[in-house]
Amino acid sequence: MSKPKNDIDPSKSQEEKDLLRYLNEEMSSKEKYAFERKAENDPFLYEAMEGLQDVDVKLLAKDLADMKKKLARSENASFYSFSNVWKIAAVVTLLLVAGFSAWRLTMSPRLEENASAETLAADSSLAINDPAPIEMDETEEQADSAKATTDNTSYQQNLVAESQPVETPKPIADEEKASPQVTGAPVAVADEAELSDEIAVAEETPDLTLADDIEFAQAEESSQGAGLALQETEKKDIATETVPQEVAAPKLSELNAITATDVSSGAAKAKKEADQASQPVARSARIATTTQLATPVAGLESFRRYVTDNQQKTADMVAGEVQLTFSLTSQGAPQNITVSKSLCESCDQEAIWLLQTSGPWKYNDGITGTPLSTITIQISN
Amino acid sequence: MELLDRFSDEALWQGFVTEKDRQVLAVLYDRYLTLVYGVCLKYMGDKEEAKDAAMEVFEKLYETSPSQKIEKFRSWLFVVAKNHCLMKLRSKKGIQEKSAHLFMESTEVVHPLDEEETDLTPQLQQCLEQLKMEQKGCVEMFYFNKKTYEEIALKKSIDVKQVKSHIQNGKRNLKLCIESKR
Repeated sequence: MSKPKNDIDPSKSQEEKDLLRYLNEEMSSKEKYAFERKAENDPFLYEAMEGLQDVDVKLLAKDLADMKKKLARSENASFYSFSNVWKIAAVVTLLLVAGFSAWRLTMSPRLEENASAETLAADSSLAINDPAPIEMDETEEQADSAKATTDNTSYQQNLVAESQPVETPKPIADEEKASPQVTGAPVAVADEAELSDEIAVAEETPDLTLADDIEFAQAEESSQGAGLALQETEKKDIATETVPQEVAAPKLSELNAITATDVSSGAAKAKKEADQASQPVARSARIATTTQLATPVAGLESFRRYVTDNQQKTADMVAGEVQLTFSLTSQGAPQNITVSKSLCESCDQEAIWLLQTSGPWKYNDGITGTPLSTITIQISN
Repeated sequence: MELLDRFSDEALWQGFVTEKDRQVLAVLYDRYLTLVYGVCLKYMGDKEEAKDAAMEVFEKLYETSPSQKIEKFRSWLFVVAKNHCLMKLRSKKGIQEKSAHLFMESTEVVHPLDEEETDLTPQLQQCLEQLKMEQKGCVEMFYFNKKTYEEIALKKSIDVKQVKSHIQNGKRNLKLCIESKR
């Protein structure tokens, strides 16, 4: 079918086609008269003809097409009517609320953990290290491990503080290499805690005896249960895999042997119990292994405040850490203070002064002799 | 769409008010958009205003209460379109008189001259004689000699609009005359 002249759409109604033909002077005289006669009897058609009589038919076709497009758009636009907009807004709000709730449910345990860690970090200016990391600063890697353990200790200490003094095994040269791994969980936890302690105190203990090891293992087992069992199992695994039997030294092998004996049902039972243990129990076990040997008599909180309030800054100071090693006199005064990790001369002097003037310290119950301790003081400029 | 095209205006309208289906209404748009636009163009005088008015008329249809009974859709739509345009005109300053005049020119009652078989009854003949010359000539040429507006305009040497005006006015006067004689 050939396209009609003047873009007249063949799909249009006959009346519309006739109208357009009439306006475009395409009708014969007879047709024209019939159409006019019909219009005389149809006011709608008649008035439409009157309105359109001066319009260019080509432009009329375009105008009609435009209007049809607009009407089609307005049909679609009705989807965005007032009531629909409110419906859409309600759905979006519901989705946001549901999404936020899901996010909260997923993230809340981690957030709570981080929040508590951050709170402790903010409050804490003191952390006491366990014996193991003391000698880890021989290499950079060891130092990092020691810091991680230190950091971990700081917030763990806040949880148990002075209320849970537990005997700590003395580090022995060969065991020390394994100890960051032996403590296992704390190293991992240290990363997530990322505590910025101003001070971290590490204790260096004299050589442990086998009896000490046994006592420690038994004490931990009795107090920590399944969590300890997991840790001891890990100790065994790590020692077996990473430390040569000769280098691991008798104390570690003995400790492992004791652990295995004390768990009595063997590693399988220990592992099973560990699997059943909840996260807090596991953390409790880690805390027990890193509990400090000495604390300020006035308490950790008081010591933290003292360090924070009395740190005197000079122009040549730089930000960083100073690590001091010290022991205690019978009156509890820090003595034999040496700088094991220097930052700057002024920084070192300031750290020593703070430790000397902070007040008396005491060894924790069960600690015999005068073991060396290490304290890390954060210097801020 | 083609299926819907087969239905009468009234059937489509009933379908629309029942289902509120815009596809059904779109068929009526297609049928009457040109006429509505023409009517709006007549009253508004401006293309853009006429376009707006025509689209508003169809939007009005969508908002029409389903309870409203419509006997003859075509006549009803014409009245809706015309009234809408007149309302728009009235909202303009100083247009009232013009729109009133336009409204008077419209006639919706079938005129005796427009009946299928136009018999020149004595009564009609008598009234025809009473018309003004221009009106009488144009009416006679259109209804009895079957001349188009253009042919009459050529013959009378006047404008087509004047021809139509003479015919309209002549018809109105005839109607008044016939009614006065009853």
